[in-house]
Amino acid sequence: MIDLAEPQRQSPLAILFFGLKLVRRIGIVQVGVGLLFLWNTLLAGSLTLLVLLTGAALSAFGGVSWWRSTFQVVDGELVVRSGVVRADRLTVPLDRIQSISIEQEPLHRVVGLVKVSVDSAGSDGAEFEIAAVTREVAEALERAAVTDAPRPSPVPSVIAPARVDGPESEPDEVVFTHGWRRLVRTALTTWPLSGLVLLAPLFAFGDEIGDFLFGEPIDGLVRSVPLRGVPLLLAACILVAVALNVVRILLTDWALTLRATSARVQRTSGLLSRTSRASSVERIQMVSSRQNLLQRRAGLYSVTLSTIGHGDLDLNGCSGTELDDIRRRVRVAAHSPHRDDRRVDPATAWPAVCTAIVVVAAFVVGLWFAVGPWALLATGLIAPSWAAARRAVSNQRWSIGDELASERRLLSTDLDQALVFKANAVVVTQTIFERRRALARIRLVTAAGSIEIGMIPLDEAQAVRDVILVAASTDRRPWM
Amino acid sequence: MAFTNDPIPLDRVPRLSDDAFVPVDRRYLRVRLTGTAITAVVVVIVAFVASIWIDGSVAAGLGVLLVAVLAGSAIVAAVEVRRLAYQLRDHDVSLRNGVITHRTQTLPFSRVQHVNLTRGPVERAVGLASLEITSAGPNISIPGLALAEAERIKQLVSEYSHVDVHRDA
Repeated sequence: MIDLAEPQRQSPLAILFFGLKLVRRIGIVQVGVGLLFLWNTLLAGSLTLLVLLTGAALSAFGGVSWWRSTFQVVDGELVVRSGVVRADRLTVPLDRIQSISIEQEPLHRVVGLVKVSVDSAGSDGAEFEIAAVTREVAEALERAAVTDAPRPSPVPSVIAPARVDGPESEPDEVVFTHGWRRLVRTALTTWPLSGLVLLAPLFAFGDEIGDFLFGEPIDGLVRSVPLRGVPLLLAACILVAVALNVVRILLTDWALTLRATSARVQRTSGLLSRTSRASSVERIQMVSSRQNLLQRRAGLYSVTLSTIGHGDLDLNGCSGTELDDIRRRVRVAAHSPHRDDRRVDPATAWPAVCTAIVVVAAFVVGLWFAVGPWALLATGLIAPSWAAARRAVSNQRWSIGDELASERRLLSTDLDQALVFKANAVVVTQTIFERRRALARIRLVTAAGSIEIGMIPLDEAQAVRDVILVAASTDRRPWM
Repeated sequence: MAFTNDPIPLDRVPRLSDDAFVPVDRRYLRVRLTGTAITAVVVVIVAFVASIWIDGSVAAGLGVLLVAVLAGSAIVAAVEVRRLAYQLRDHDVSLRNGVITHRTQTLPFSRVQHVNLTRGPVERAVGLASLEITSAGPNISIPGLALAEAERIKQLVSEYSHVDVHRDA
């Protein structure tokens, strides 16, 4: 059993990971060039001693730095000490830690260690990172910070808030695990362009690769394709993008598993780099689900649990049952706002249409110089955009109850939900256009995102604001 | 005691009344206009210097255009200061602002993380201060408060929200 009250050190191998991080920061190419330069000069013997001394000094510095870096949990606070010349001490109250990520990169897997990132409210990135530590220590830290941490009561309460934390010994329950078949379905139903990131090196080394493989630059190859070959080339590109997207999803979401207790949820996935991210249920501020046309046919959803800080939990390829289960665990209603049938004003479509008209007009003016009167064909885009805007507005629904929910449905269906008592602020806005029609927009802002409803009648927006403010000030459930 | 969970009629929910907003100090307009005037002076100087290298009439035209824009923004500032108002209730603080887009932002005291009082050089010269109320989400900044009033509101907000008070003056 790990006792975090005692100062804990990272694994000595962390020095190696520090070195690798340094190399990555300097740039692998730059380090390679530097080493080549040194190798060439070693024969002359001029820099050998300097290189050895610098290496020895850096190793010694890394060793001392490792020895002086400790972390422990004292009186509900995570205390991190570091620094070689000066002593730095970072104290983070456990109840301020938003999420803890446990990641296992390929090299970590070889040596049986994990990397831990601690994220707290108010920090732009991870508050601090532990480069290499045993999984037992990482999980003990995660338990201490996410599961067992005391939660502040949001308001002084007469009635004690219902304790939603489970007992310390409550085991994790596996909510779902996605096998490779589900991952392939997920990849085939999501937008494939993100798979092209795997081709990013081509943009940098395209000509060299083309020279190596085909004997001429790829640019030249593309230009030599005849016009009738363009559809074929496009189809090939789409196929490559889809295949690469499958590879990307398999790499990043391999064995995607959601575990949960009554107090927290934990997402784990990854083939080469195994990543684990956990958050207490209370810190989840919003639940968003997306479903495009292909996903609708396959019955899958992309789900995001927005938490305070930078620890959003993305769960791609969830089934409807899994989505309902997730909502139940984070205490959000499972029904769609379509049940309440609250709509936004049809005038909401007008600003979108006006924007489309302005963009198309600018487009026509720009094209006129190149193709003359043919540029007027671009005005044909106004009618479809007007129809799309009207359709989007007529399909939009929202509801207010224990949570504020907004659903937009056009080609894809987007549903955002936030428990109203978690509101950090409420904003009612009125543009000139809206004032003339006695309409307004209302925005509920949580600590991890916002939901905007508009345009709706001003009276209704103000009434919703008042309901949200009552809930935020009187609901005694912990909000973070 | 029997458990009840009756629905609350919406008319019993306290309304945020538009009439109860307190306008900020009118001297805040001087702070805003001072900023605009400084920008205008810089623009005129830059236009004058630029006229040495480029056609004088072009530089003068650009200068006049920019000064006209600044004059327009001064008028907007005057209207905006008239609309700028705040309201404190038992459980929240609200700020009303905006000329073209009217905006009413409300922050419950239970979400306040900390309260800052800030005073720039121009604000110090006219005896005003700005109050910044921060939460884990958005922040509210109420400018143009008389110093004593700002101190009093800061104390009140920190008492109602049970947070520490900071001062950067």
